[in-house]
Amino acid sequence: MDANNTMTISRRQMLQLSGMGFGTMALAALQQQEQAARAGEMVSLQPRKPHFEGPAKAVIQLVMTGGPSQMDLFDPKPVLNQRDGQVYEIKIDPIQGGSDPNKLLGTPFKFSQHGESGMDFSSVFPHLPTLADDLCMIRSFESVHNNHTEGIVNLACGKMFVGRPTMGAWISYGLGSENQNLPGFVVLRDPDGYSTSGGLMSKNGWMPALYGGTEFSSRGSAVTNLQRRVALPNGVQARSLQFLAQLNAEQQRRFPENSELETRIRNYELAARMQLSATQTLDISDETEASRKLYGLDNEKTQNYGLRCLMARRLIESGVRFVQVFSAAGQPWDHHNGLKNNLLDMSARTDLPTTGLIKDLKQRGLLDSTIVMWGGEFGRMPVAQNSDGRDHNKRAGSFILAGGGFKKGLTYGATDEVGYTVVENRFTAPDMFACVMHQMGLDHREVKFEHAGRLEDATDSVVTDAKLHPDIIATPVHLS
Amino acid sequence: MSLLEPELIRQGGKSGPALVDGMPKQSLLFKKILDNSMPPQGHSRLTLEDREILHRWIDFGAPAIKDYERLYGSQTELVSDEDRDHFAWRKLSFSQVPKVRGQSRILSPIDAFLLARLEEKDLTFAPEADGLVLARRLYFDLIGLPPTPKQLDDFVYGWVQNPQVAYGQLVDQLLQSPHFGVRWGRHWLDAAGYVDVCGADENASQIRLPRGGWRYRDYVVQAFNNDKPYHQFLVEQLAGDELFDWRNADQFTPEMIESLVATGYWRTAMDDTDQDVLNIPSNRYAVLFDQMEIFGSSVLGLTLQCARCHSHKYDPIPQRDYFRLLANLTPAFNLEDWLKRDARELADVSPKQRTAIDAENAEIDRLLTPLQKELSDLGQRADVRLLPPRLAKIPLEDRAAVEEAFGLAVDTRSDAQNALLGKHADALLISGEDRKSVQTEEEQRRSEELQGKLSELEADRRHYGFIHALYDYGALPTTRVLVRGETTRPGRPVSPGFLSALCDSDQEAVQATFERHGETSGRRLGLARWATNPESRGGALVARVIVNRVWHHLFGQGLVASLGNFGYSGASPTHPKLLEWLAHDFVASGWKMKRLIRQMVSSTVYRQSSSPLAVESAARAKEIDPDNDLLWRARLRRIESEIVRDAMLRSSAQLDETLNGPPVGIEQREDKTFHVVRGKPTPTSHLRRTLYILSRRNYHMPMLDVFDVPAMTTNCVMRDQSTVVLQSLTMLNDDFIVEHSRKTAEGVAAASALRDGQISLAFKRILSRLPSRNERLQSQEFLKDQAALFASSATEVDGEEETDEQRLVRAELEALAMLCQMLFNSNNFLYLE
Repeated sequence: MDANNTMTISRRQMLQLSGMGFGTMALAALQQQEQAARAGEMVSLQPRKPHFEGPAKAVIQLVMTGGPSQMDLFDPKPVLNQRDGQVYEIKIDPIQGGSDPNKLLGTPFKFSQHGESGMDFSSVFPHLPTLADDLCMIRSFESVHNNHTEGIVNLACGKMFVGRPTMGAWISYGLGSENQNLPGFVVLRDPDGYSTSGGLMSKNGWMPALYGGTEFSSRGSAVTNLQRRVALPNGVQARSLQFLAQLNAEQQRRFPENSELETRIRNYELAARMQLSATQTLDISDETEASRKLYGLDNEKTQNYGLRCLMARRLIESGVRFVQVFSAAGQPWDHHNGLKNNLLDMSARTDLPTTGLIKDLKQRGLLDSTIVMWGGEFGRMPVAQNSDGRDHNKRAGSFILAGGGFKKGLTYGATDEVGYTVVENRFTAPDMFACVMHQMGLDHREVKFEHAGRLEDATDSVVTDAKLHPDIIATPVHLS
Repeated sequence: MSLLEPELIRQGGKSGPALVDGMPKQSLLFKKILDNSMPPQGHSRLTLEDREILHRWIDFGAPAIKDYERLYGSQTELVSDEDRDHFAWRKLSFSQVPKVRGQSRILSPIDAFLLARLEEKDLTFAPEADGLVLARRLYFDLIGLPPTPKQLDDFVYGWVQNPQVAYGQLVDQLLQSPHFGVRWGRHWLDAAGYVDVCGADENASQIRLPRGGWRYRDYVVQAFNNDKPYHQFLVEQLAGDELFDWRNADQFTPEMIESLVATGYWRTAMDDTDQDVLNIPSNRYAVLFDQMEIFGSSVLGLTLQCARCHSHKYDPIPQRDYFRLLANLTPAFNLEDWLKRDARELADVSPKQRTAIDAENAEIDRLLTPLQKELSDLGQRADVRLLPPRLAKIPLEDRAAVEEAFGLAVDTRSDAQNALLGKHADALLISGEDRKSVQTEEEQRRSEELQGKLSELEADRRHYGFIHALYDYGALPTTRVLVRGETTRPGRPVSPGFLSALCDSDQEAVQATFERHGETSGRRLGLARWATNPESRGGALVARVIVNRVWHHLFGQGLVASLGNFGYSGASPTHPKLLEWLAHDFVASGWKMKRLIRQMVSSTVYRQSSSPLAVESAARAKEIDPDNDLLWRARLRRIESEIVRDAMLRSSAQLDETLNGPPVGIEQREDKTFHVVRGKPTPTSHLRRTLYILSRRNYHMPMLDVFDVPAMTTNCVMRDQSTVVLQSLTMLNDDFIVEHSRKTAEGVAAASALRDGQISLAFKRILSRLPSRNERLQSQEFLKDQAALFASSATEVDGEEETDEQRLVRAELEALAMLCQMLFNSNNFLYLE
């Protein structure tokens, strides 16, 4: 192609030329996004129209990094206990040392069925099973890599390569935010440290930083530099901002119609509003005793994670689009040994607050419009490691989706007799993107962003073959 | 069971999987054919040739048909001449400087290329920018610091006499500044993915530094300052270890050390293999994959990583070629015989010297050991006498055990005993004075004598430093294509080579001969020679990529906007002929970076105004070229995170200009944010340029974080430019800006007692200009109002309420500090006009 010609063809024309089919509404939404995508211009979190009506307005992603063990939590495998200690005839790929060659490991927990749906849960979680009829249990989650980092990047980006925007970024880009005084994508991590590779879960990748996750702290000041360390006398900040506006106006005269400069000027007004808004949103002094109890704030064991769950609800209520809550620093669900005690410990720290959050959303009427995701980067092996632990298993794991119009009380997909591989309704990370975005009213293939001269869609669907799973969706399905 | 797709054959049927990739003899499919049970009776047998084909197919990992042909088919070349005919991959050609009407605006051939395109649309350049605007632009672009008021005055003085001469002199002066290397070194270090820490850097409180890692950073800065030709710069980084037989050298020459340090380029990827649990094959591969990605985007401007699992979806880069390139690295990153990260660190003395030094030090240790033992025993015997009063503070249940442990010589205590004593360390604390008080004179004399001998011996110990280098070692490994990029599925072996798309033929893409100095494969040197050979397609691409990146840094957008993607899916050049001319000229004149930069900043296009108000036909220009791709005016550009911080340090006159050396530490505060460690190692080291402050992958100072310092997961060929609210909050509230606004105000107040003079000086220091009449009036109003507000709140001085006079002085200074802070907050500060 003659290089000179490319300049005169706009991106929209290019799309039209390449014959991508989508409805008028989608086109309108896309046009809006296109404008947003123009480098340095119009990058904003103004609410944008979805491609179609979706039940969900927000996502809370509860991140269980390390790889929770499906056969000890959600996916009963009686064969494992019947044949505990026996060598399995199908070769299991060991990843790390310490694996007993192909020796099956039974679960130390009893399974039982719960709710009208009869959903299976082990005895690890005492609270979550009470919500059985509100959850959609995916038993066929399949990852792509047995390493934590690749697995986490895959879960967050739909592909295992670092550099793509994460799900939260795509969604806050696709829909903007309902609250212009707060970021669209907020990350709540354990103040004691990042989850291993957890920082990669909230990256904007090659999108503007505006769409990446903003960390709010559950300890100390919620937002870095929200206030000065030594407070100014009354009136000083307001007068300073007035003077700043004068200085900027002078320059603005030399650069009329420069939206980046305008945004920067507006951001100072926003900063002042955010000082109030963030403080109010995250001030939990108005929470009742009952609600504190619901999230386990009255208990030393649960209050760390519980506070983050509560903050997540408050942020969603304030119109934040995507909130990511990390269960704990490091790799809390990575149980290569001592599986029994480690699972019970994580249950003691997280089960009550997780359950409390979902219950609270339900009683406030927010669950239908909020997707709660619970899960880690992969599952674990049916065979023993270090005698009482399990190694990573990219081939199968369980994942929970709740609210947001996903079917309630559904158990979806299946693994083989020992839980090593998926045998029914394979559900990949790109599929997760497709489903979650669909419930937000977005077609994952049509949320596009230009990167390195190429229009990228949210799932790189041509390469990943991301698929919608209509069977897990209770609300109208938009297939195109 | 279905045989339709390889995947289905893999799954198999009742008897289990029918295919084991790479292992025909273990594959049921093949076994059944070998033992003649398949095809079923009554069907014709497979010919030998058919079997052979099937065998090879399984051996190669049973790729799907489409991939199979692309990957391994021998009938057709994988890359055609048509594929190679891409603007970025052609050989360098000379392009004629175009003729233009507006000859008076031509200061450099560059201008002719741009003006020709503008004239096609009946447009022209914007008028030259104001002298002060140009000075600020040059200072930031070339050294990343604003001019001091004195430097600004000197420039203005010269500019008034003769603008052309003054401008040229300023360019020369800045190119000579040691800060030039700091500024441009950072650009390269971004591309190379350099941070001071190693590993994934996930744990906020754990900082892991490779020994001598920072020397690579200094190498890069010096290379820019010494104007090392780019091709030499690349050869040293890609294969500096292969230029000399350093392994057998009696001692290292400075050139050897420099070249070895340069290979730090290959050591920037995350590497946690020094932790045993992480030293597993997939992580080893991950190091190699990341380095490939970094090499691809920084040097070749290609998205190589896309060809790792399958042939590239957009570019003619077969997966085979990815692994051919990778094979250049495997002799140094041997996957079977892996050197853990810390074991790779190389001494900065020759192996012979290191052996000699280690032997001498071992001899010192041999002599030290008995003396240390004697000293320790002397101390322990004294300590026992001091135990009874301390024992009382120990809980009863531990007392007996502590007493027993304490009674033993230090080196004979068990781990459990040491742990027990550690647990009660506070209660058992014994000072040197305490100890002396219970020692006999003879014991004291002997202790002192022993200490003297020990320090004498220690003084003889010889030290050497380390280099974070890459070098070949051990036997040459076989490099294999990984089926679908999976590290557990090695397929066919490949030879070291280059990308076929960047060679004239497939044969050329295989390395045949090797230049070897010492016990090394010469593969990376071959790669480096190919990448810097201006006659090759590879060298041509490398030249285009670097001149384009320099253009981006000076003009805000590359001629090819996708700096790291010169492939088919990358952006088309806005000015292809100019790109060609620049690359050709760059190579022809010796790959000199300073010359290239001087050439660009001396052009009319660089020197034009950025304000559309200055352009007569702005309305029409905007309509024709709204994105300013044709450069009918200069672009307004935001300064980068490090430069925001460095500029404040210059304005507050606090900058410590020390260059080189180990990084200055950062630490986490209670509120979880990171800050430079103050006063360590020198009283002003926390005021050094950001390049010398410890850089991490994930954890940065707030000031850097909000202004898009990259999270260095691999590398960064183009910085983000976000406009987010956290920037405003940081500029309003962060301790750093509060402190340096205050320092600037103090400096300004010290220089001038008059409010008017203070306002002028503040503008000069921060914005490199004087205030307009309007701004001056607004500033005066502002100072008056703020001083009144600050004076309304009382402060104590030395525990007493301040006097009225003290209050007035304080309020005025605080108001002035506020003025300075708002100047730092202004768009004028953050943008180069």
